[in-house]
Amino acid sequence: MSGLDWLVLIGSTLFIMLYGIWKTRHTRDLQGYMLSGSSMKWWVVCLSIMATQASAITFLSTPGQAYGDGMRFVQFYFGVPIAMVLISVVAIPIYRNLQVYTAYQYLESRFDLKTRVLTATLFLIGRGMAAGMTIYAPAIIMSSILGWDTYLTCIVVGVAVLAYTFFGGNAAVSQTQTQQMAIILIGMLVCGVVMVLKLPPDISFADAMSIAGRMNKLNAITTPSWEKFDIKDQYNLWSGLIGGTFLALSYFGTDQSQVQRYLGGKSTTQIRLGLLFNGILKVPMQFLILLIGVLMFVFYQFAPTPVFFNKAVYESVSEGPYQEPFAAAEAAHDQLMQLKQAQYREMLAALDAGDEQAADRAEQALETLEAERLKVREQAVNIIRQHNPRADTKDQDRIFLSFVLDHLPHGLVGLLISVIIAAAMSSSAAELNSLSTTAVIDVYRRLIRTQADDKELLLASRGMTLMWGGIAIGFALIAGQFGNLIQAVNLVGSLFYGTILGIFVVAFFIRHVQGTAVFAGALLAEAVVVLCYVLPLYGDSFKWLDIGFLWYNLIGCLAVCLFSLLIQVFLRRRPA
Amino acid sequence: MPRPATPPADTPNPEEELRQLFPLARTWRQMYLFVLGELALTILLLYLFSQAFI
Repeated sequence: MSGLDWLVLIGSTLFIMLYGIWKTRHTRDLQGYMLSGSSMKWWVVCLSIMATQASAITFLSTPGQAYGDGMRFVQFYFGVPIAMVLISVVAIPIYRNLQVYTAYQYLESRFDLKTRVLTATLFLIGRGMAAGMTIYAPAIIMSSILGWDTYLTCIVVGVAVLAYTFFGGNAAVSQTQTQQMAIILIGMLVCGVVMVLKLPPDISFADAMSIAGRMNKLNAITTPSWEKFDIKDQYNLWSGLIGGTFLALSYFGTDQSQVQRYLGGKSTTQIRLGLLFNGILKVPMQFLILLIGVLMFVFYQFAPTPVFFNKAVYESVSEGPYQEPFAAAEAAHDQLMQLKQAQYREMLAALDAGDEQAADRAEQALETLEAERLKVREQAVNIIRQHNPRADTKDQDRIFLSFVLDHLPHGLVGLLISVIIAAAMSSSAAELNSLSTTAVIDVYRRLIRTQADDKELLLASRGMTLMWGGIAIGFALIAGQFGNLIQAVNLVGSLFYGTILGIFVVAFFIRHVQGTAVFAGALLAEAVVVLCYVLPLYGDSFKWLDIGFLWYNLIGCLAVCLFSLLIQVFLRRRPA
Repeated sequence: MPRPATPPADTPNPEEELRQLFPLARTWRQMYLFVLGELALTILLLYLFSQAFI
């Protein structure tokens, strides 16, 4: 990075942090700290919700996802608009009427204390783990730029986020998210424009789309027929519409990190509009981010492409005892990429001439070359493993970062890095804030210090922020073992969200089920979901349970409803 | 349990407030249909997009 990049990076990051802290310097009461004084307009609610979900992982990992797997990940978000409508109709009036700080407060008035505490605990476990991964993403960036160890950068980023949340609370998060979101979207658009401008002169944007289409990267809608339906397939139209709706219902309707964003809205109408506009904007926004990933794929078909995108690992192997076999793999990789470039040009010429058969032949040749390239890459990865068995051999999350560092003009690199760090700060801060709020309101004030006044609770909130910050940093230190981050975060969420959503569905719609039945039903349902995930890992006889994680949300939710109903029937029949 | 501080009261008529903030929808039902319609249109456009370059 150049001096100008450093100036932009440090300047903009410091500005956002100090602006948030300055804007909230008068935060003295609990309501201001937790709910921003319930004063947010709809567009602030909307941007705040979007920015909380769009963490650094979104901007690092999503383009990498499109680079490897195409655009089908966009289907994951199809459930968001449906969920926004359902939450606006059902949940918002209840939350507003009860004037709650956390969604789990409602469960005590509907069921009992133990159900409230169980749900809050499930949230604390799931979100606490996810908060670690949110810190890990910008730590990767810092380690790539500074050449520092990732463990050290995890601690540095974690402490910065912690300071920001500690001093400002929810209001600091909300106040700065609008600015951050604006910078983030501008930065991503600039990246897309630079990618198109840096394509070879004979490759137009339309050619780039043709290449991406022929290479199956524009697979935005995949609709398997019933014969070909594969429940292990993570992203298709049905898993997006059904599983995605359940995941979005859980995340936006019951996850305190989101509920806390919109509970700070000025009125029911402002909150509903904020949620609904999130539903309107979410899919197009993710489409654009994935399109940038697809453009990046085409860009790297014609630009020098490293055999492995993690620079620190790449340089370590290139200078170590395995440098010769690694250099041989790199040379073979380069040669295959050049052959691919020639085939791409042949394919485009055939398409221009309207010769479909020649285009198909070139496409087949490209598929063969790609299969060979993947073999060579696997060899390079094996060499990396031999060099350092502990090395992180997943590099999908590093591809976009490599592009930013190697190909953007000076100044823009600093801006993009600051954008990603800003996104990380807002998401992590929102997560820490919601964790501390839930721990204080649903556990501390309800079980430990029932007579605590606002001053003590504000102090406890800040203490809890520190504690959850420490736990999140601890998870961040081990997050490198989870592969693709955006998938890992959603997987962790899906393990708990289904059960949490099930409890709320029973609360809203199955009026005759009481606290003990739903409490036991939730415990059983969570056990079912965890078994669905764990059993396939430990034996071939359970491989039939190996399903796409989005379905865990549906399974968890339905299991809570079913078990609760059965237990309620059993409890009624039992003699008093 | 201490009672949470009271958020500002809602306006008397939420639909009136909706019309002021988003004139395209006169009722909440229309607003919800607008969101779901936009989703259906987006899926259709994405399908056409994914087929256009094959």
